[in-house]
Amino acid sequence: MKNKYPSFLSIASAVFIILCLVFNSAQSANAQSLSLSISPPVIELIIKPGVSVTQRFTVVNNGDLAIVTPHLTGYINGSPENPSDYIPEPWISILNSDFAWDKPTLLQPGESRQIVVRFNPDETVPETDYNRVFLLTTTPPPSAESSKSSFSSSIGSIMLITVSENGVLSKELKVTQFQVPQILDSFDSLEVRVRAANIGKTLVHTIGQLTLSGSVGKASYSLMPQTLLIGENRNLITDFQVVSGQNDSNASLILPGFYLGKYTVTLSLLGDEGEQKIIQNQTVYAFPWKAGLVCLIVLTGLWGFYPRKKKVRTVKKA
Amino acid sequence: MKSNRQKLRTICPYLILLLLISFLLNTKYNILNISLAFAEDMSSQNFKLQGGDFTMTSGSKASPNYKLSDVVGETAVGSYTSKGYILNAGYLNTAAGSILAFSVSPTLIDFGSLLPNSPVVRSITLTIANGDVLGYRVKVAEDQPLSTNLGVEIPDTKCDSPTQPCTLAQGSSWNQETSYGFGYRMAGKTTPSDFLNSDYYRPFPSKRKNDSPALVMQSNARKATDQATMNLRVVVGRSQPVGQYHNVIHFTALAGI
Repeated sequence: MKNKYPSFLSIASAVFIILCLVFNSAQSANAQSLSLSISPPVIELIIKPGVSVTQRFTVVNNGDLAIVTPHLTGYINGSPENPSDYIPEPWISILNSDFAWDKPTLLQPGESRQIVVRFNPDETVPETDYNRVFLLTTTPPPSAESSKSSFSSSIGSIMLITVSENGVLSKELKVTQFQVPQILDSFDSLEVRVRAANIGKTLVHTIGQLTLSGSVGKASYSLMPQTLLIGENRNLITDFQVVSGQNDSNASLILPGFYLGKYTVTLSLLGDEGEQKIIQNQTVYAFPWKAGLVCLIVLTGLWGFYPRKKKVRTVKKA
Repeated sequence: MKSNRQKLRTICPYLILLLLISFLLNTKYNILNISLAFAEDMSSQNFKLQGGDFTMTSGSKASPNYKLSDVVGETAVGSYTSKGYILNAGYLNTAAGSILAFSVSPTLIDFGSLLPNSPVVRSITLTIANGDVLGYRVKVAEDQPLSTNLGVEIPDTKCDSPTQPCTLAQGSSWNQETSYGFGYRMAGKTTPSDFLNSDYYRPFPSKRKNDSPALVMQSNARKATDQATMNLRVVVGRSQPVGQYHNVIHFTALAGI
């Protein structure tokens, strides 16, 4: 008897093809994304007034079609911000014919563009640091006929520019906090906090290390290299802290372990590859005081309880 | 009766197969979607490291006698005196060849029809890769609260507790359907820790109110590729006027220094 239903294989194939088509079309619709990259993400320039230097930035659109606008902004507290009285420096300009500050430009999906920025401060530009951001901002998609939130993004390259006639500006680094517990319970983690401030007249790079030395050994933890801008006072963090993923902590180093006796924590901080060196020591005494306290309370309790019991026995005998 | 049962038996394997293929494709699709996002960010040929060359025409107008390679990494004051500039792309050239990449997907969230006392939650994915630079920061702000063209607003959320409302920097519990507003929560390895539970939310900082953007992703690590999910939640009351509410949420990604 001939089967009036189609074969299992043919229906399965048809279903598979239909689903592939459905899912492929869904994928292209759902893949809408903003995705930009910029290189290099940080530049540092020390420039003499009257000299001209150019820097090429590479921008790649890895998402969908995007309208991007380059902006020149200030860099304040880790963000691209413009004070109300900020006027973009005329000596920082874009050389491209297809890009200009504050002018939107279309970037095709997958398109890579190079933007050349020229720095040419004239002799009238005051000698100081100019912390700026080369910011690329996308335009959000147009409104739809419904309630919605649309997204735009900015990605930037931080430009730390020092204008100086002779390249020598006063650099001064100060440790504003070097804190360790004076007395540590043996079972607690050792927490070290280090903050440094740039009190000089130009940015300072910091590197260094924290060394923990005790009666049985010594261990060193590198401080992450950081750039402190003028007036900035910031936590310094060790590699160990970053690797352990404790991003929210203000501590430079949190070191779990068992501690007993006297320890010395040494901070060696170098400003600008050794031009300025700061060495400080702190002493920590570790013993199991929490456990000792518990033992003391228990023993005191037992001592107080024991004579009363003996007295009761005496009464019974009488 | 018997023929119907036979029909059912014949159809059953096809239905099971259909469900199985749907499930597999859906799973695969989702995985593919994520990996594609990574691929776009990390393995495109545009991402080849361009180490060491900061591609400047370094002072070609003012100092034509110097080679570009001489410039990179130089810190000697003597060289500065003669050339008039020192250009590094990052401290100790750590940024040499580095690329900061940031993506937001999707680009638009449609809340559909907002019904009174019916929370609507939508999510987006943020991905960032920072190369050799020291960490990154991602901040967020809205241009305005969700508003109609006539200026009617859905207020930014204050969460559930009137005594301890959530703030721009501190999330708190928001799960009551009668606590109206618009807010967000973050989930991910490098997101703020104040989103303690899945019902902890914050209001968006608003540029219209001159709020400072809020930090939503941060790392001090090099060579990080991190992903985070942002959930957006909106709840309206019966007194909320009918209309199409919209706003723009803006993310800013910068490298750490």
